[in-house]
Amino acid sequence: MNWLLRYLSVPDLRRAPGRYALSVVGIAIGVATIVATLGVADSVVHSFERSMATAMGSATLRVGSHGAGVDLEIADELRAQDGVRGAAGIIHRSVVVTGDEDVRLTLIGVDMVGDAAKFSQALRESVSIADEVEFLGAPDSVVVSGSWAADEMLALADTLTVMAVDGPRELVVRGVTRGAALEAAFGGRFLLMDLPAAQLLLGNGSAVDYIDVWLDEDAAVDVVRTRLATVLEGRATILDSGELARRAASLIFAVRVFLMMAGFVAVVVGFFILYNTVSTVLRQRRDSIQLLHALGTSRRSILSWLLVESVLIATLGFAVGVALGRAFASISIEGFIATSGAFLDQPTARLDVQWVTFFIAAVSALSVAALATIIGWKRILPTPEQQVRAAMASADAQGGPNRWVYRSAIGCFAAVAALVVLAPRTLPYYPLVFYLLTTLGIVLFGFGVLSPVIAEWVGRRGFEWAVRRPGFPAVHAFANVGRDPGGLVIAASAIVMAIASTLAVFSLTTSLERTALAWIDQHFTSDAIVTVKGQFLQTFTATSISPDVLAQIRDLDDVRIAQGIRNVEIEYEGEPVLLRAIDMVPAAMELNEVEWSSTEDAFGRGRGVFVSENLAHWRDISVGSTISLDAPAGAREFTVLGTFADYLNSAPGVIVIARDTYTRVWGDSRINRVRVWGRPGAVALGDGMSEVVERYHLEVTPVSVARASFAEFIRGAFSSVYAMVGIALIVSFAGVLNFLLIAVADRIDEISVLRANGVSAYQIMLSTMGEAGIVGAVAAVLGTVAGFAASVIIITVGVPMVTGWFFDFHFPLLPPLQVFVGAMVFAFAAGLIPGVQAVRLSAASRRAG
Amino acid sequence: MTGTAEGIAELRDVHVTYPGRSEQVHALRGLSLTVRRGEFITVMGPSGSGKTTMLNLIAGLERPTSGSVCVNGQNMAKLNDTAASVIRRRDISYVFQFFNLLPRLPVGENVAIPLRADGIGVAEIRRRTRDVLEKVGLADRIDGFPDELSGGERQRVAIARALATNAGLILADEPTGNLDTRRGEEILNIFRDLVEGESRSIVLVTHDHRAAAYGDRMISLRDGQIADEVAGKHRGADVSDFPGAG
Repeated sequence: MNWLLRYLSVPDLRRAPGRYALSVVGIAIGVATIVATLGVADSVVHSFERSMATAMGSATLRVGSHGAGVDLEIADELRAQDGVRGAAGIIHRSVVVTGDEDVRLTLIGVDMVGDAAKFSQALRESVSIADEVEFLGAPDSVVVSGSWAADEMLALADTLTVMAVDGPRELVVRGVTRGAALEAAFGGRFLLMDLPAAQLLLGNGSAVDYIDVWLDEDAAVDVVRTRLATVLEGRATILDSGELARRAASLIFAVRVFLMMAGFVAVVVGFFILYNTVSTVLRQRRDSIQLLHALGTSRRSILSWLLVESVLIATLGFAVGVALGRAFASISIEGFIATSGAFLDQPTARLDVQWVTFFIAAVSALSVAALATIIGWKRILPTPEQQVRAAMASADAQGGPNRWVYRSAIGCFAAVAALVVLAPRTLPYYPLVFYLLTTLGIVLFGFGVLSPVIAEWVGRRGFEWAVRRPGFPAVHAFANVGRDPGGLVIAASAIVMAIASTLAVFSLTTSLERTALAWIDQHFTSDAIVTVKGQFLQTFTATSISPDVLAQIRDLDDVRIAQGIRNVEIEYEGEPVLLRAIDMVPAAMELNEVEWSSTEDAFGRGRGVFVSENLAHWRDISVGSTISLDAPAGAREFTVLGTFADYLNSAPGVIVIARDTYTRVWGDSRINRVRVWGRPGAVALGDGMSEVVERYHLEVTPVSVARASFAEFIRGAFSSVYAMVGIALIVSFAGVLNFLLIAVADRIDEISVLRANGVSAYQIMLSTMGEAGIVGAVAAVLGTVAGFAASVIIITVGVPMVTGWFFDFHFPLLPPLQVFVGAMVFAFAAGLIPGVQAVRLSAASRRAG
Repeated sequence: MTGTAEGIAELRDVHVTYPGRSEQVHALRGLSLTVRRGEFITVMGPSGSGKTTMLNLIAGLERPTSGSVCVNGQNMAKLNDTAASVIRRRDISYVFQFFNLLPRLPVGENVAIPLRADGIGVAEIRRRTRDVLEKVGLADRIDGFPDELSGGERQRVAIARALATNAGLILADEPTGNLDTRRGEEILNIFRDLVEGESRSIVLVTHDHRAAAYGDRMISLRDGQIADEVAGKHRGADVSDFPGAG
């Protein structure tokens, strides 16, 4: 085998470096597609999960009611229990550091001389404070992360301005972290304060966000947990690290599902590209391989040689693809982080590709290269038995052409219909991903299987059309497609997959955007919304604002109504949901089943709540049913007065409660935003509020701007769609290019005959490009139809299962048209290279004699 | 059809050199040949003697390193691809030993290739295609595909293609090499009839001395030069002692 590598592969590489380069590029594109898509998913999901896990540190249990917080005094009660070694209150919030450009950082507040410092090794080892007495004595002291301090060139005694509950507050850097433990947990973007200082800054009073509990080494966790639950009497909930991770995952449930599905499409498309590329290289050397066999080299030796060569090429392609994929992922990750940042304290947009992604990409590259090599080898050097079987299969096919294809396609579509009809309300993460991938996979496979049949039909009809007209290229191009459609299966299937998935995402984006914008028009009845600067879309992670701000806004002359809104994360049946407390104002809330006027009184008196339709869908909640919510003073029951649509919050679901009730039960009077209605004639609410706005670092967003920002947010959330368009076009180009390179290599004799019979180089090139265009068009049409089918399934079945939302179905016409035309143009352009190659293959190839 | 008084194709002191790994390969060394109208030339010679290169030069598929190749008075070496293609489709027809037909085109469309390439109207293409296939006895196979034909039938389709264009010059590269004796003779008789009945010119490359004997003139090539040339005693004469035969 070594001699084959040395005397055939190496000279071949020197003679035709372009062919090897093409293979490397093809494999690199496949690998890059996988690494980029899964890499973004890794970064979003794992960085959050790791952040949660590391933040918990060595603590065994976490006690908290989230959002509204728990009273620090509870820590003393917990510490007094048997089996508890220590308990420490923690502040864990997202804060805005103002400057030329506002930056969101994670603020951690811990008692620097309490149990946290005692039991958290990461904290002990990572924090370096120059003067501890000064640090603890001054409420403006802050420790900044080492990497951020380096980026911002911050040194000890420098100051930075942070948005506090009552406006901007200047803090002094009195320490810098070192080492990797905390940096890794918060992505290098965090501030650390002493607990009382942090509570003061955020207006928490005596509340903390949660209490971490360390147990004695010999304590039975379950026993202690039961004991603590008894002590808490429902004032707070207890979570272990596993539950915490599960909770984190549930918060970004929809993002994870969609990223997983995008990853699956990437792997499949990558598979097609890889397979196509390796097959091309092999087929182009068919003559050499057959000659070697004829000269006595065994089939096994030839296979070993080809496998080693493929693996070497795949390895090089993998290395290039990883670099490319990381670059793509770095570009597109910002959009995903911006999306998830509305719901989560996402520490950073740092790219974090997991080893498992590299593993999947490497296995895909190597296994597909090996698979394509083995299949190609079998085709080029069939055993006598295989030749007989192939001949018999060919004879059978004469009797019933494409019958199995039709049966397979019908079977696929019947299976999909059954899956859609039997779709459950929702499923846990992995079964849901499996369900959606299976359903969509079968749809796409069905259309992929149909592609050669459709191509054959188009080729034969096109041929009949072309022969009735003068000219040669069209006749030749249609004849090639119509008589040999099997050759384009892989190319066409890859294009179908890429276009279909792209269009499905387009449809999803459009449906979400149109449904949500119509919802905004209906629900955003105020003139403007006041939030902390840059936090219009923030819900769970929005900075708290003092209730004084609401009072000051209400006092303004231009303001007719100001409605304070508080968003906090609470538990409902063990899962996080968003509790939204709203002031009672003379403005109706749009409800699904009932009129606001009939429920207003009960709602205002705190007898009932409204739930979002996604929460109602998942938990089977209906109007009139009773739900129980954990509150600091114990569980409280509320009647569900109505349901409503809310397209700003997906996975967790929303419960709306009157703010008076919330303040009374949860003991929290802070707000996150204010909806403002101006007096008739008030021109610009922002101008009237400028003093308040400036003092508290707020911004006033007119509803028209809010509408635009929301539309922008949706587009940003699906920014990857543009990367998918790029991938679809690259797949079209690469697929058709490889397919035609094989075809041209197979047709040397044919081209020689054409040239000898007076067909010009230009006509041959036109014919080859025409064939490319036909393949591209067939695949683009099938891809569009498949994309439409996939869109219907995603929007009518998938979206309700994943988000609980019900969209109006929209299939935009322009983007599919653009993708369709783009794919055809790319496919047509891809025909140019084999076309030029075809021209070079003149009758001179028959030089012997 | 135009051309010089001397011949439909003329090669003058033609040299063809290919770059080799260590030294240049001389395919033709100063070859001069005139193909006269209505003349049947057979060319013999061992492999590598330059037979196919000579045909490719006449067809304008290759260019000489030096010397000139004229077809109907036009120097093929100086024509661009489009102009050379026009001559190939109108004035020349090429018949190969093995692969003459495109497998994915029906027989009729295989015949029509040069006509379509020339932009001829569909009705005219149909008429000519039917006529020429009738002439070679394959009218009933017009919609069939090449893989349904025997070797001899495929060669007859290739000849029908030559008839369809009214090409004055037919270049045949071992057209009978793949056929049994009887079918080979059928093809050679068709060629002979084309020369005698329609004044077409034929340059036929062969290794078979019986096929060579069908020519009016027999040329033996060796090392890129004409080694010998004799007047033919066509229709089956014994030329076994001719250089290059057998």
